[in-house]
Amino acid sequence: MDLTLLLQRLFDAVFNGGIYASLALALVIIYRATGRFNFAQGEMATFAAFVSFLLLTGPRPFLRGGSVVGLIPGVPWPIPLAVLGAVLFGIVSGAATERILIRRLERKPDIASVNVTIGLLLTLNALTAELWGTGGRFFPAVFPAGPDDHLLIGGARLRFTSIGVWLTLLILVLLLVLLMQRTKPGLAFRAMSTNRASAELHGINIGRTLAAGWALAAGIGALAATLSANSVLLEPSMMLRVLIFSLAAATLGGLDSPKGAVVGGMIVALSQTLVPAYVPFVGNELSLLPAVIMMLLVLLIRPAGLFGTEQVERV
Amino acid sequence: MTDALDVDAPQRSWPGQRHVSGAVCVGLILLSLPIFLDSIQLQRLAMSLALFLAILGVNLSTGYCGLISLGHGAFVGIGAFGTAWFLDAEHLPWPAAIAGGVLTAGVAGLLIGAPALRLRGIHLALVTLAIAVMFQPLARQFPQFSGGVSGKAVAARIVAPGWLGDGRLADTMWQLCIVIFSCLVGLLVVHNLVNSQWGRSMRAVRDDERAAAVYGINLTIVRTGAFAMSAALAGLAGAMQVVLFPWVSPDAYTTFDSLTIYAVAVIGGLGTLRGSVLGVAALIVVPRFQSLLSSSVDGVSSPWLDLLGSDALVFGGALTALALVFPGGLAAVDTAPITKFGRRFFGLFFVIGRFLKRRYSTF
Amino acid sequence: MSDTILNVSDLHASYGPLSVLRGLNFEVNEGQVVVILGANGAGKTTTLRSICQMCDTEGSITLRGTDISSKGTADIIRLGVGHVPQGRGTFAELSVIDNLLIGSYTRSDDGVQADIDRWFEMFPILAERRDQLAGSLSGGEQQMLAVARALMSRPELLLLDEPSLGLAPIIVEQLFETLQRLNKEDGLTMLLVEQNANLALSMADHGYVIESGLIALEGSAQALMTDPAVQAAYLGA
Repeated sequence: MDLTLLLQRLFDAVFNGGIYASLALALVIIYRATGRFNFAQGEMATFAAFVSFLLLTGPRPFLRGGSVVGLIPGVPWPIPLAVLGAVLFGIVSGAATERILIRRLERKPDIASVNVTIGLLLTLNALTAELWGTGGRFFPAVFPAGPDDHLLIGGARLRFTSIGVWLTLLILVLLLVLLMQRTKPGLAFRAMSTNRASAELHGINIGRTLAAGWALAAGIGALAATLSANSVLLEPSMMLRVLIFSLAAATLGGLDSPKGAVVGGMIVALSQTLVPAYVPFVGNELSLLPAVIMMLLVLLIRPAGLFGTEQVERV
Repeated sequence: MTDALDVDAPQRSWPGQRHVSGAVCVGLILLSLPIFLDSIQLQRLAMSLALFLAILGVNLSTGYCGLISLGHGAFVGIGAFGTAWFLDAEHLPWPAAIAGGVLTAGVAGLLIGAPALRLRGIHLALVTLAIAVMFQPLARQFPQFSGGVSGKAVAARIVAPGWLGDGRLADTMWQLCIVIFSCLVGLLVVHNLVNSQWGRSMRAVRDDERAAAVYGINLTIVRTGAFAMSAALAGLAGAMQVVLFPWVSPDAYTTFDSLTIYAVAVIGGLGTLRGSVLGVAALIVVPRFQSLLSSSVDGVSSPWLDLLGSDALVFGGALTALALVFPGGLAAVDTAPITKFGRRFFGLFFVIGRFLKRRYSTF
Repeated sequence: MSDTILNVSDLHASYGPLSVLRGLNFEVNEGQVVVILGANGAGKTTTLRSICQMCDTEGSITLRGTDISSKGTADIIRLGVGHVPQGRGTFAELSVIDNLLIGSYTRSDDGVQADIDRWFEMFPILAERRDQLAGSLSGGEQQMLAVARALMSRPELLLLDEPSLGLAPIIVEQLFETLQRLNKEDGLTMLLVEQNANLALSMADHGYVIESGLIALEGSAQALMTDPAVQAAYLGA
């Protein structure tokens, strides 16, 4: 086996791993708080990435047809600010989504939450396609991504974008841990995730805390989408596969464990690059297959995943 | 197996007279369509109609048995690929090929269901969404069945028998007849199934799994059986697509095709047959309504009107909205106010008529 | 006569179509321990839940003269009600110390650490397990944690929902001793729901008996103890 090639494949997985881990973090935040998935997490992120695309390109007519609406007058924004804009947009839209749609689901069965978030997935995907078209668009790289922007380790290239994504993820996790463990809103969020009724009896405003959770998740999602938009081209369905990879990552790591999301993201990304390389049937098109099979196996054999809490159902 | 549930005597329930006459009426209306539509429009209509069977399949698994399935498009695809295979490679006559396609989809449902159905609710939704996303790339890996990246033509054609005449319109009519017949068979089968002992078991499993198990219902058999049956129905929808249009391609079964089937099934209403009928009605009406809309407002161009032109947007929006407002879908929307309004409205004519009659009779 | 802290009049409560309380009237005075007795399903827990607006209610509930019947749960807690729910409301995946910090969620003063120290002194076992996950505590320890957590918000009125449920008699005795001390030394007002009538009446000032959503009987704890109907139904005499 060619070691350099293996190393190169590992390095290739690093970038995707960071993206999957970020989106998996977003999914885990919401799963912890509500025991449900936000299937629209990917599409919400895509929409936010398009918003940052809008900021990057400056004033632009963005609706088809006769009447033209230019939202942002002035000069194109620099990339870091545009990414920040997308994250802010994600935060606001996440909170709004919770307030307008998700809060009404409180006492409804799980299938209602599936319907609402799948409906949102379809709506946002169609809306993005209507507003910006379905063709892929070039999105500038957030980190240096030129042909020479890499470190040479053992003959394999570790690209700066991969390092950048992982540094971002590291900072993100650090901030998240600080937020959750050291601040009062973080404590409220953990309390709500563990025992909602009891949290309410201690004066914690459940609605506001949930909205904050959704805002946080959508903000992280927006960051993941803008970071990955350069490598996959910006298009309405770009996060669909990423969503499945990230769901697999979250499941693998344990659905309520942020640590699990990060480890799971890396494992899933490794399976994505390594399995097609050594199993001929699983071509690049089928790179989702190993992740999905792992997800199914974990759900069947050990639903708590690697780091999740064992759920004990009381009868 | 389910003696304990046998309190109310099991009845071999056939659809009531009202249902039969309703179905016949709808069939007759559909058969009279060639007067208004050309063969291409007819074919498009029939393509949408065929999806009724897939919607029925989602309803059977999700609505009646509580198994959320976001990936039924995969079974439609398997049914289509299977039918095409039996037609072309095995040279079976078309009824046998359709049966083969349906069986293939059913077996696929069984194989996927056996592991996946040990999951519940939200996790099953997760796995079936993964199936929906994976099916298109997976199907491309089997070009001998699916035609691979480019798709493939199906050589065998289903043409009208001699007595119906020949030509394109006659063929399309004949194909439409097959689709309508299949839809009616599917409807009848599901109707009988949900009103049988099995149907009661399915609903029991949906409503309270633990209680159902206590009553001696074998959860695995009921869940897997319902899922395989619903996959077979979806497969029949795929077979009908091949009957109508001799072409198969993985690109017809993307994630969004699966999700649209699910969305329409929920929008129509889960857990009632009326819901599935309303669902396919929405699937047929919405795009027509959109083309009507865009042609009638030709002069006024508005980007917001354009937004309505996207099926996925309408169905996605409706799915979200209905899940919050009417969880039972269109079938559960209270029609009483509309009927009441209608009665008042026509009552007005009645009153005017009486008034006029009295007025003029005095002359 | 002392001031009325809580006044409940003509309280109706329901869970959706199921109506549980059908016109309750009672009050709790400052410094008192008031006990609500009743059989299973009589509506005791619902009474406490109604005070915190955790089910649909009609009628008036006033806390120190302020109507709280249309406020949210979180706001009522902020007004000075502590609630020890049935099942103890433990935050199982959080540490003991975090559980106590949640108790002080509504406070912004800097006396939190002093209070933690104080309850650790009163419940030494909690101090020993301060960094342990609360879910790993025994039932009695979790009940003490629940009381301490509720006290962290410095409530004027403490609602206790069957604190003796599922605990060994010796633990129950310890717990009630502590509660009595809190009442005597701190003047903490308590509204206590109990099945263990004997123990509850022995520390209470006043009592009510609920039967199918209505007050069937009320009186001083002394009077209720000697009431033949109460003795027959709840004291097993």
